[in-house]
Amino acid sequence: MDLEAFGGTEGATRNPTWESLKFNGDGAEFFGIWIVNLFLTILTFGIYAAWAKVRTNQYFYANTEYKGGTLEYLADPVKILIGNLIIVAFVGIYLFSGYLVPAIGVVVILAFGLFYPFLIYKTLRFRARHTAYRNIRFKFSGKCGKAYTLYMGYMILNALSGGLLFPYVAYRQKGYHYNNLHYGNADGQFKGDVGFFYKAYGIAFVVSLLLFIAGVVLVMVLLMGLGIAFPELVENPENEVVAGIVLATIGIGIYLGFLFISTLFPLYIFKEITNHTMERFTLGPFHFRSHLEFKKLLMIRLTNTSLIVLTLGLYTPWAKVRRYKYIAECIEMLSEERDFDEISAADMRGEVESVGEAAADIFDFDIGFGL
Amino acid sequence: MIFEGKYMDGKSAAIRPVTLHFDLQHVVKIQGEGTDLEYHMREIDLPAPLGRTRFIMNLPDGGRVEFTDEKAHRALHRLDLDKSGMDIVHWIESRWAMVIGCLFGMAGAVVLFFWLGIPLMAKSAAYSLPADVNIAITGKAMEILDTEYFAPSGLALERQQGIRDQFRSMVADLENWDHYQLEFRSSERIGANALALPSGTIVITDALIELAEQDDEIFAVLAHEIAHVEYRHGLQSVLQDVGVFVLISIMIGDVGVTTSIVAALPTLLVTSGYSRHFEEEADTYAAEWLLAQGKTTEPMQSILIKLSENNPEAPFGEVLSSHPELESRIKNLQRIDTR
Repeated sequence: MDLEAFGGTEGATRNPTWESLKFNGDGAEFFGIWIVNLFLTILTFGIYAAWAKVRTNQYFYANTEYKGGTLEYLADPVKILIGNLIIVAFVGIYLFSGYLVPAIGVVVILAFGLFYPFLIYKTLRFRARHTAYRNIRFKFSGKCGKAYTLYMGYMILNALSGGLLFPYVAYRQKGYHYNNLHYGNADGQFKGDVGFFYKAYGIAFVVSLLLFIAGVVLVMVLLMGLGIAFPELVENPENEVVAGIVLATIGIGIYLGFLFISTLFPLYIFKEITNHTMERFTLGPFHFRSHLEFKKLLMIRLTNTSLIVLTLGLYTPWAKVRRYKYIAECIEMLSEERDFDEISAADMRGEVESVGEAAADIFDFDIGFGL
Repeated sequence: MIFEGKYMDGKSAAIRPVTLHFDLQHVVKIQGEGTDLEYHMREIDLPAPLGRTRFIMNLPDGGRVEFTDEKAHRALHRLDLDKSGMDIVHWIESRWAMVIGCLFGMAGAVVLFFWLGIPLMAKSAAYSLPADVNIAITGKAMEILDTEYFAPSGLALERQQGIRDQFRSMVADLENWDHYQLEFRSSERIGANALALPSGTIVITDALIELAEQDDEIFAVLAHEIAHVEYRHGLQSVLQDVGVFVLISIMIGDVGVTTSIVAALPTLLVTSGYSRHFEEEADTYAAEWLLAQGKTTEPMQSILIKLSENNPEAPFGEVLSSHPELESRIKNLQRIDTR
């Protein structure tokens, strides 16, 4: 779809330009914030976790810049703390009652299942409402019942269909996220293509399956070849140590190989769906596009993972910054300055903050840069 | 003082460049094209800075000013009446010495947790679980050992019965006395050795019985193995492994599935250190049993020395002779003697 032409149809005097988001944060600076967060969280027995979360989000938001404005994360840490306490209480009840009467554990898990769509709905609301750009807040207007349809009803149907319905469900869920998103008085609209979702998931599934089969065959051939080439390894107990080392090496190789294959699927889906969603999403006068590349995402994932493991976790802040920066800077937005003058704050009255909202914020997951 | 900023009124998304003035009367004036505002510092909220991101002023009517002038921020901050604790957090975050201090504090907390927290938690968990769990974690271990390592014992039946009688009397007063079972085996691969399975099955090899010059040496070894069962060391090890695994996964978290099994490797390294403590605990139990019989710990010491000479390298971890640091174990026994 030609977005430039699309933008141009709205009026001869309009002259919007594309510009990508910019991320100004850096790993060393975030390292300081991250380590202080961890240390204070330990010192306060977890209480500071709420402030740590707000500070981390603020850091990433405030460093995300577009045409002179930055994102803002405005959640109140006290509310998140209350949410944290509720979750801890629930987990505590679950563990304790599960120990006394195992059946209660099952009931708690079922209750959580019933609660899950509600949490998604609350999370989407909480996140949108506590995100602002140029001092104008976002808003999520989706209905709670819809969350139950999409995250429970459709998921059950999907299970019955043996997973064939999954791309359709994913498509509908994206629609729920983006069609109900508002920025001030600008309304979100997602005109996705369900066929695209089927294509992306289909390719990912088939390729992963083929790679998996190829991996299994390769391992079998390797092991058989080893048995033929070095029969003494298998038969002579004297060689136990050598055989152990050889087998351990093969084992680790197999593990890393399959680990690699299993990272490909979600990364490919993320890239395809994000690029597609951005292209088909409009927020009032604004258009988006994203040019994430699979190869770059994979390189970032592989180097980040290796370095995090090698540094026992100390590389984490750099890894987060690197990944976020790449993804943010792949996203472009079409706008002109005049559009922003016409955006006005939506009426926020009647939106009562509640403990429930805070509890929901624990259930934190990324819906793609709050856009 | 005069500085530049960006004003956003919170009603539209427009950004207006403004000039800000403030004076000794604590009055802040915000002026720009179509903007002319005036507030007292009291009304303005000045959130703590974050990294090197812009500074913010929240105005009472929902407006907001962003600015980057550090000097202006310092001056405003000095006048700000309700400073928040987050200003202190920012102060810590932006000083490398403090950050490194926190890093060492973190490392210290983690080490402390590994050395004290996890063993303590594993211990209390091991004792609060029902005794049957010990049987569950043992599984088919004895069958596997029998096919992999052991051959039937060649020891005379009367001799076996004599040792077994003594063994029975040793466990008679224990709460789970009926879980205990003594097995005799011979093994070329593990030589003179004894081992305990968490379920209460204790195995002693013919070679060890031959190596012993007096029966008290054999009984001391049995007491040592009984202690492993009685103190639930097997279960504690499993729980410690799980604890370390979870902790390492959390430490190198944020990379999804990858971590969970990559974390298994450091887990192995860390947990091998825990078993040393269990050995000393079992030695102490054996020593106390010997003392209660009116003897010294000498038989335990002599069999330990003989075992380590006899079996310089052992094929697997749980066996008696693989225990490291013979010297410190002997010292521990001597200490008990002189008590």
